[in-house]
Amino acid sequence: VSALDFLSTDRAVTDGGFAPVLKSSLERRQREAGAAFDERHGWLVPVSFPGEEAHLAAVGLVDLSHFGTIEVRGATEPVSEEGVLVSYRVRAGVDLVLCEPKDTFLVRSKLARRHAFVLDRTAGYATLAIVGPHAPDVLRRLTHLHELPASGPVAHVAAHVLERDGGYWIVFGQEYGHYLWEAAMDAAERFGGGPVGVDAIGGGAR
Amino acid sequence: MGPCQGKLCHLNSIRVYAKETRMSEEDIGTTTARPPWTPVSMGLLAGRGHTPAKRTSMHHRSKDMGATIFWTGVWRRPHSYTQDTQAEAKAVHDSIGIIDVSTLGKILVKGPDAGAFLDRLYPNRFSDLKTGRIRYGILTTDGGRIFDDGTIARLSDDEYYVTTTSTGADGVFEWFEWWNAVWHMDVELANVTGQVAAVNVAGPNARRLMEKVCDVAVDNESFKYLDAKHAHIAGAPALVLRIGFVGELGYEIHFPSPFGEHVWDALFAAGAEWSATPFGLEPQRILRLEKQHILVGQDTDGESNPLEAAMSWIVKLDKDDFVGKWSIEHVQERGLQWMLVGFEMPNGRAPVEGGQVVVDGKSAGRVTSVRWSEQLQKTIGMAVVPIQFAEDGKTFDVKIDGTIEQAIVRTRPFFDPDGERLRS
Repeated sequence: VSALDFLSTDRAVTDGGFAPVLKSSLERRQREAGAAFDERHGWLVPVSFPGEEAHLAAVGLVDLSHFGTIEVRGATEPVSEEGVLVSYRVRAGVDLVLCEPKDTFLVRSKLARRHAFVLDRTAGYATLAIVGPHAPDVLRRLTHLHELPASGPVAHVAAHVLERDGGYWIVFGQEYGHYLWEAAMDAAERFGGGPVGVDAIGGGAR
Repeated sequence: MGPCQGKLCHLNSIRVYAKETRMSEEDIGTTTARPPWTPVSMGLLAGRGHTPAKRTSMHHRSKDMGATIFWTGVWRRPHSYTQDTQAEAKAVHDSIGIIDVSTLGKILVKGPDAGAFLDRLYPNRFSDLKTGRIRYGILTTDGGRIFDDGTIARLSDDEYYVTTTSTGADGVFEWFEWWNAVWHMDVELANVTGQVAAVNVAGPNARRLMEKVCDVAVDNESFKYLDAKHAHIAGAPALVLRIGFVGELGYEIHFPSPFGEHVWDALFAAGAEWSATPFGLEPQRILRLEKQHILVGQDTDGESNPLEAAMSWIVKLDKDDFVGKWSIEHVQERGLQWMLVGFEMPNGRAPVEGGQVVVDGKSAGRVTSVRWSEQLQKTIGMAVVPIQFAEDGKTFDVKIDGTIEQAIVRTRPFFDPDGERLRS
């Protein structure tokens, strides 16, 4: 057990009659948009939204904040490990890897055996996927970043932008979740887009 | 050459020169310096304007409970939950108050040199701090000026958990990174400010509440004042710090942000039998002033040094070195000229914050903080005064609406001066 274990969302216990539930920082806005939620791997996950099929045909915004996000430092080569969905070299010696929620503990443990500094950042980042044919248009309205993956301002806040399955994953500080959701929704609605639940894109890891 | 390195002033200079010499701009020519233009896509310019705002993971719960939200830096925070801020402060003194302090900066310092690194940054020592214990620290610039403060908890031999002020979080992290690059020490730094939410549960019944939600013993013997312990709070993993900015028995609970609403709800459910009350930033300011706990940036300014901010006890000049040591030694050698003191107003009138301290009809200092304390039934404050006034019971003049009023110096906390309630 590490002294930094308390930073990991998967260290919760259900002793004493408590049932800790994790919520994304976008949750309130999604609830207002009519999201249906399901509890998965300890997280309250927005699985569907009204009108999501139409949104998906234009541009959909999908909250993937429940995906595991792990920071690795000191690796000489880009980090790879079984279970890692995306590995992004932020800068020399600093890598960010994303994995499915069910794999977070396993991936983190494996990485910790090979690297001296591994920090579970799941609680620190929100991840917003932009999917659909108008995804590039929405991204252009949010940021000047275009050589991807890249790090820089997205709607004026620091973020990492990754390419994934023909769309984009914006990984940013979770404390900006409410704000960035509003900014992204504003951009998406102009193209007939809107929120989409994770089930509509195969659980998010398609 | 200014900060723009000629990129902004260059063209204007050519035009001024052309006008004065009656030469054409073309004949004068220009350099190849490029203006600081960064391409911006049209897409970025289009659309409704949005103002980036940070919100804690309990923000919406606070709004649900009636909080008045206001800006503090880039954060949206509860100012108070009712119109009666004194009642919120009183709830902390009488039973239990709960405040969202997630905005505090939080930095991990990890590595074999972590203790030595902090020893170089802070005027006091952290390498001798025992695992599981907490110590207060202030940060000073190279010029020995106070620019931030917070607590430092030692989590293991090579891991420390540092908190900073809310508005200072990013600046302190950059400061740490900069010095780490300069000193080449074996230290890793991580800013976990947004990642970790924090709630302070304070008041005489705080322990009773904690007994219902915490899976480690919280009695005074097992969990002492300035202890830091790992625990689960309502099942959520947490680091619990026994500290007390607001002057009552208190537990500051740090946990992953996405558990925010769960933990918040569990604390209020557990505290319902003692009428646990949410309190905002304004009641917190009353409470901390009763203890004369400083607010960096409010009670200090760009010229404040630890010795003249009544914190000589924190400065360990016997250390080999720390950032600002030379400058603080210089202050000591030249002698103290000012002092930050507490004061109370015998007639109850309140000078404005930033108001003048007056000596012989001339401005000779400033009032930094003022509040009415319902608990103490008096107007209390802090002020920077000339050193000759910095003794308990001495009086000095302040200007209120053009008239001179007398203030009485109080160098010890107004409330619980011996800290018995904090340590209870």
